[in-house]
Formats: sequence, C-alpha cells, structure tokens
Amino acid sequence: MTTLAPVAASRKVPVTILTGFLGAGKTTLLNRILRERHGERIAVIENEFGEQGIDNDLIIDSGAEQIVEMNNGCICCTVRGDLVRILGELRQRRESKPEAFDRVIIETTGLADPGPVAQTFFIDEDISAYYAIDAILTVVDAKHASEQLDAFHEAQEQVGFADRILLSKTDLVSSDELTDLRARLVRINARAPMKPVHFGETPIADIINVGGFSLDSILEIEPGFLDEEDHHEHNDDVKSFAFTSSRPLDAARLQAFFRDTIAEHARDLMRYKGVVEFAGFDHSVVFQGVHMMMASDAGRIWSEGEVRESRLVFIGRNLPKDALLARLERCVAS
Amino acid sequence: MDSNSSSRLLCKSLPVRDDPNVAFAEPWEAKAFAIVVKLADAGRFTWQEWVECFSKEVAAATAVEAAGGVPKTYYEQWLDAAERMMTEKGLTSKEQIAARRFALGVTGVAHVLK
Repeated sequence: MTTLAPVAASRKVPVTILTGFLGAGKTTLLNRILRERHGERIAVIENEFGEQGIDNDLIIDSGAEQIVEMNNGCICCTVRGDLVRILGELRQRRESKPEAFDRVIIETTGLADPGPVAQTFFIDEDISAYYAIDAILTVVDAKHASEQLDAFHEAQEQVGFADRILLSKTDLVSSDELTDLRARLVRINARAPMKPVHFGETPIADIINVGGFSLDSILEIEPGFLDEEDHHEHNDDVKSFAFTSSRPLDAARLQAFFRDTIAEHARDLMRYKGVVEFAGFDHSVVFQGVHMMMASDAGRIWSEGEVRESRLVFIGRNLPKDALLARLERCVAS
Repeated sequence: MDSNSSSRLLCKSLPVRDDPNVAFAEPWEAKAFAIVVKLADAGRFTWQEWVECFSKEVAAATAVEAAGGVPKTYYEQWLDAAERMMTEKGLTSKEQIAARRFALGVTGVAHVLK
C-alpha cells in the first residue's frame, strides 16, 4: 500500500533510549557501541547521575562520534525541558552539518523512568517532527536483577517499558537462576525479546533499527507466556498480560474499551500493542501506545486461509487484569 | 513548494466563505486545506481533478440543504472530498483512514502518535 507517512518517518533521526539499573553495564555497552566500526555516527545524550560517565578521551580519540553531556540530574524529574533543548541544539548542528550524526542514543540514569523520556518524543511537536524513537533498550544485570526488582519499582518499570532486554553478567549466575530470572522478566514484559550481552559486547544489530515503536514490527509474545499460570514467588507490580481472539473484534467496542481504560489507567498503562482483526475489514489493524499517547494504522491484508488471530499485549503497573480481560471478551463482534 | 505554482492554484479556485475575516474556524481546516494544495502542487492530482471531486461534495451538501437537512460544513465537505481524492489516487486507502481513526477516536488528536 502506498502511504505518505512512512516516507516521512524514515527521514527522521532514529533515537535509542538506553535504560538499565545502576551498575547494569549501560556505560560499558555504550562505550562498546561507540568503539565498534559500524559506520554509524552516533550522538550520545548522557544523563549522569551517580554513575561513571562515558570515557570521553576514548570517544574523542575515535573521532567519529559526537558526545553531548547532560549533567542536570535526573531526566524524569527536571530535565525533560533540557532534553527538548539539547535535542533542538543537536538538530541545529545537524542542519548546518548533515554528516554530524545519523542517530542519537540517550543513556538515562539508573533510576530514571523511561516513560517521560519517551513521551518527550511524542508530545513536543518540534521534536516529533525531526526525531523518531527506534526503541527502548533495558540492560538487566543478571546477577543483581532479582534484588533490584524486589527493591525498586523503577527497575520493574524499565523492564516493562523495554522493546528489548539486554541481559548482562549472565556468566555470574547459574543456569537455574538465569531461567528463573528470564521467567520473571517475561511476566513483567512478555513482548521484549532478551539478548545476552557479554562485557558490553553485542552485535550492533541488537541495538539499532529495532523498530520498537514501529507499527510494522511483529508483535512478539514470548512463547509459553499465554499458558502460564498466575502463581509465582515474585509478585511484581509491573506485569504484562495478553488477550487473543480467533473471532473478529468490533472496532467501536474496542475503541470504547481503550477510551475507558486509558481514562482510568493511563498513568499505570505503560505500553500496549495490538494486531487485530476487525469485523468487516480486509486488513489487520495495528496499534500501540505509551500511557495516553496512541497510534494506529492499517496492517497487511489477511491472506487466504490465514488464521486471523487478534493479539493484544498490555504492560502496566497493578492493572486490573481480570476485569480488563472480561471487558475485552465483550469486544468480540457478535 | 514553488510559491508561484501554488498561488496560481489558489487563485484558480480559492473558496469564498461567508465571512471573509474568518478563513478557518479550526486548525484542522487549515491543515486539510493545505494538504490538498500541497498534494496538487506535488502533482498527485491536477487542480481540475480536485475541483471536480470537490464539486460533487458541494452538490451533495447543497442537495441535503435543499431537502431541509443539515449539510456538512464547508471544510467537512473539503475533508471528505480530500479523502476520496487521495483514496482514488492510491495515496491512502479507506482501510488506512479507518485504521488511523481508531487511535484518534480513543485519545483525541492531541495524543495521537505521529
């Protein structure tokens, strides 16, 4: 299908939001990315807050990257405005010198909630016209994740927001511990694939062009997640749940469902995504959202004989899963 | 955009409203207007094609009014004609418009991700 929007979107500067808890290895990973010869010129916005900074000497030596540091404390509380300002400055620099950089990576503090950082790209018109989020990546320290998830809701939120989870320090834990951790992470976020990173080493392809906010990207749900039962040792506040239906949904009812759900739970509804069949549509309809920001588009045409399964995934904090699932059940077209 | 060609287009068929001081009542009207001018300018359809397409909408609205009904507003006619024109030219599809309206209907225009 010919559309105008994707052309414009592809011209925007892709932005990666790199989150992860204190000491998880974000900076190691970032230094690794910057050192790798991948032909990408990357502008880094770093929000230093009690963490070891980027090795500036190293970066300057390599000559190819631009570093912009932000030292104004925590992104989520005070410097959303600064993020706007700094992205504006980067834009000016790139407009006078297009080869300055091809993409931006924002490294957030260990305690940052990725939500407001992500929302900056949707709410600010100037920013959203020029930049597009590629993905939120969350580095999870396999050794300490379990304690961190218990102790800090920010850690759960970072996992919940992720389009991809990068597991660091997997060599420091037993395979049983790793299996448990993976299972816990899947319950928090059923749609983010997990990739191990070893001392910050991971193929650049795991990091860029992830398309986490792209409506075209496939809605992946971790295998086994749908069949899992709800009894677990850890009862995290942030959880995901999925709804699937092999019968078409009613567009107006689903729209009303989202209107109500967002009105009631926008703050706790972190990410949601769906590929659905609406009664009377030849195409699938795809949508996704962050809190109360939402996008939808026509997906591909269902092919002949294809099982038209609607799939929706919700990730949020203390969401009334059973009540929402019951309401979704009523969105099935009669 | 080539300002000469667009101003030529504008001169040809700029709608005249009842109140010359109010060009657009709402921002979306200006947007809808600009999109059509810009697409015509980009050669996606000719201005003549647009005039024909829009005339049909105007005629339909006039008929509604003549029959005692409440016709669509000027820019509602403009928007519906624009959607039809773009669909006919394969710039978008009915399905895509309907699908995009899904999020719009949920969150309102200020919260639709672009």
